[in-house]
Amino acid sequence: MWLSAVITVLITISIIWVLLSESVKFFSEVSIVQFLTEKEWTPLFADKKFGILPLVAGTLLTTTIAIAVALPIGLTIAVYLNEYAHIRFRQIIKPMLEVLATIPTVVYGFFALTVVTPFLQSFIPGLAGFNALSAGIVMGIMIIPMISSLSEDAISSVPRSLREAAYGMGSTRLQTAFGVMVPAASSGIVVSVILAISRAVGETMIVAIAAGQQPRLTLNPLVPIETITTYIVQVTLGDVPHGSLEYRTIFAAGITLFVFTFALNNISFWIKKKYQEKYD
Amino acid sequence: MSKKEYKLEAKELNAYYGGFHALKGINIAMEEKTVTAFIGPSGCGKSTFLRTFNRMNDYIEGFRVEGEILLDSRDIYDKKVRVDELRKEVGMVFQKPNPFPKSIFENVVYGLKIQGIKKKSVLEEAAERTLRQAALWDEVKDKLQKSALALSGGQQQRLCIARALASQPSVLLMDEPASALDPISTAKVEELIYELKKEYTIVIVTHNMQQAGRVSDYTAFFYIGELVEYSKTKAMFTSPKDTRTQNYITGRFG
Ligand SMILES: Nc1ncnc2c1ncn2[C@@H]1O[C@H](COP(=O)(O)OP(=O)(O)OP(=O)(O)O)[C@@H](O)[C@H]1O
Ligand SMILES: [Mg+2]
Repeated sequence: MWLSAVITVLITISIIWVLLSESVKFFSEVSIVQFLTEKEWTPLFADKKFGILPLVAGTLLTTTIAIAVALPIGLTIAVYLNEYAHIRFRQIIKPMLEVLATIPTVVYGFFALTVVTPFLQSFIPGLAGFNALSAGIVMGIMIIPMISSLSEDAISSVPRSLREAAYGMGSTRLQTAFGVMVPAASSGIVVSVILAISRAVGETMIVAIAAGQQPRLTLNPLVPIETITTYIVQVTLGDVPHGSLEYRTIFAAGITLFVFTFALNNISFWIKKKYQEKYD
Repeated sequence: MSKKEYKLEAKELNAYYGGFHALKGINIAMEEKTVTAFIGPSGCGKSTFLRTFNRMNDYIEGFRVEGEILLDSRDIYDKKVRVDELRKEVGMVFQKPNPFPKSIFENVVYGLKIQGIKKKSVLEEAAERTLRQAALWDEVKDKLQKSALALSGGQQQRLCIARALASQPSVLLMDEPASALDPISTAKVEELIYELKKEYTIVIVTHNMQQAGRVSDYTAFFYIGELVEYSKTKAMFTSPKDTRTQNYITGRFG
């Protein structure tokens, strides 16, 4: 027991250590101000620019699209399963949804590239072959089970007495679901969304395949972009020499990613703690 | 003799949880603006019966009723009846206070909001009126926007009563509304029931004989799914006709 705990802690510490030490070397050559304010990211070109913003924008863009798809659908599924569905139907549908989460992301990536993009192009003329929109939508489909399953847990852990109160007042099922149950479960639902965001921020394969690999400071979902994670993969798989400045950019990008997910995890932890005792 | 109009009636009512026969051939009629107490040992079917008057049992799988429940002489189990409309007419207060995790104000006006009433002045007026009716106004008037969950148990229960009143029902069903409260809060709720009787028809389930004696005009004694005795409260407590009733109210079982 204690050994695995020690190993876990050691691994975590060494990851952070590597990230930090390589980033420190990176920032001794590129100023943080430049890193945070420059509008271009071209470390692999002759004319090197080290602005992280295009990668951050790409990440936020795909993530926002993914959540915009997954939240309404996931929440509707959660509410449906809770308020309308028969118990037996629920027992069948929940594992099926969870299967969605086990499909390898590379499959999703090709689905986005070869099915969703051509489909969208049939009615969005300006849509590029690689774009943030398809990648974001498919990423959203991938995280639906995460939101629906966690939200469903949150809604079903709302005390039965509240549902009775709502029905007793003459609420319809819809009014009970969206007027009482969802708000009462909101902290759990928010946590599910934050976890989904972390998942989307960290997602690599779908974006690498379907969104192109062109860092671009834009919020236009129709053109190719690049996210933080796909950049890291691109460099890792390429022939950039170890120890070079170009190589160290992935640690700077990595630490940016780390800051994002760390913040998200803290927010979700804080929300859980804040609302935990509400019903005791 | 002309036929009397009753507010609530049950005719040959049988209720089943799957194969379990929970209510057996119950006949009862309650007059308007009276308080009727349901008493009887645990598990005898008081809550089940109470919940047939607003069809709260509908959601329980395997539950079914035979016979009739009449509200103002209309059968509420008729296919044409909409349960959401029925429950606006027949309000309910539960054993454990169950305010929504919203502000005090939002709790009181909930019933109006789901009816589509949005006008602030109407909502505010209704909130004050029903909170006064529930004898809670003075205690909460300065903190209407605070969470209802921050109130004491007794205050929460009176808030739930106010919330039920805001939909302007004519019947109020109360399932042991004071059993989770301290004696002072209990006294307040009892006083309230006494006041509300002027406008509402009230049915209250209670395990507390003194309480039944204090608040009710009529008492119905149930025993293992049967309505054993139903009469004026005074008469029942002074001269019960059935030995089972007598044994129960003198505390020999239950
Ligand atoms: N959901 C249910 N499924 C099956 N049986 C039930 C259900 N609810 C109640 N019963 C049974 O129906 C009978 C009557 O229950 P009910 O809750 O109406 O009793 P009660 O008189 O209100 O009891 P108490 O005084 O303890 O509240 C009991 O035998 C109980 O076990
Ligand atoms: Mg009961």
